[in-house]
Amino acid sequence: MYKILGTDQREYGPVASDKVREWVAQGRANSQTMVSFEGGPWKALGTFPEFADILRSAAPPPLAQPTYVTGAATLKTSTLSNWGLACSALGFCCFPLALAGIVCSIMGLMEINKNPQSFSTSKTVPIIGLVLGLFLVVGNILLFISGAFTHILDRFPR
Amino acid sequence: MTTANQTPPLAASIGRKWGLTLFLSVLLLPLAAEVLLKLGIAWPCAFKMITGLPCATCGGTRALAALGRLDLLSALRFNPMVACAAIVLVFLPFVRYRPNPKVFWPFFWTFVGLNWLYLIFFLPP
Repeated sequence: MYKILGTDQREYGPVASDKVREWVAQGRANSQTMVSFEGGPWKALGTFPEFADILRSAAPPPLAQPTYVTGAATLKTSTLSNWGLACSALGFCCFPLALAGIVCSIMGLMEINKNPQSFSTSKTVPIIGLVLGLFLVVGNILLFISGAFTHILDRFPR
Repeated sequence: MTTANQTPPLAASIGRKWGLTLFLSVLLLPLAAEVLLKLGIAWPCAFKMITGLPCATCGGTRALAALGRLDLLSALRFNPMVACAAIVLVFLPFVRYRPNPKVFWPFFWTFVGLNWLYLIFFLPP
């Protein structure tokens, strides 16, 4: 009997190999999914020769970060949060990037909030990204409304 | 926690969310850039204001707006890195290949450096 670790970091099973095959066929598991056989160590499903045929014929691997588990789940980095912060910071130079920073930071924050124990990235990272992005957007609007923008553009042409 | 008699979520769910975010960002950015340029309220680069030199993303707003008009050559002329990044991001959710970080990051930073040199010498006014 097998247990698998879903993308929601929860264990599913124990189930028979036919059920695992069914999940692979449905795209619920793939070669990177961590599996424990009969309570043994967690290994990637791709290392189990009995599933090689179904994995070859199944859908392509997901774009999700693979989760490597050796007894306990390893903490992941929230890539979205990091990109959100980077984009928001670059918004000082290229304003539209602040919008991308806001979107990525919100998604990163949601990702961390959904499963905080599986991320090594602190919530502070997407929050800073979000605040920075919003600061730039609000600042831009205020400069536009106050007329200061025209003065800045005259002094510092793009 | 073991969850028996339940079905795990789709393995690609995070990948799809990631793709959706980037797709929205890439759609959003050219539109925002175009609106900002049309209204004349595109933010002047803070780095350029201070140093007088263009930063690595200078010309990015114009490149994104050009991409929105599907004018690829102009986009590449204004900022090759931003134009390439926007194009790559559109297709990223559908690409299975994941580069080795040891190869990717040196390549990435070299690209950023070369792009910056191009902007310093050739960025259109």
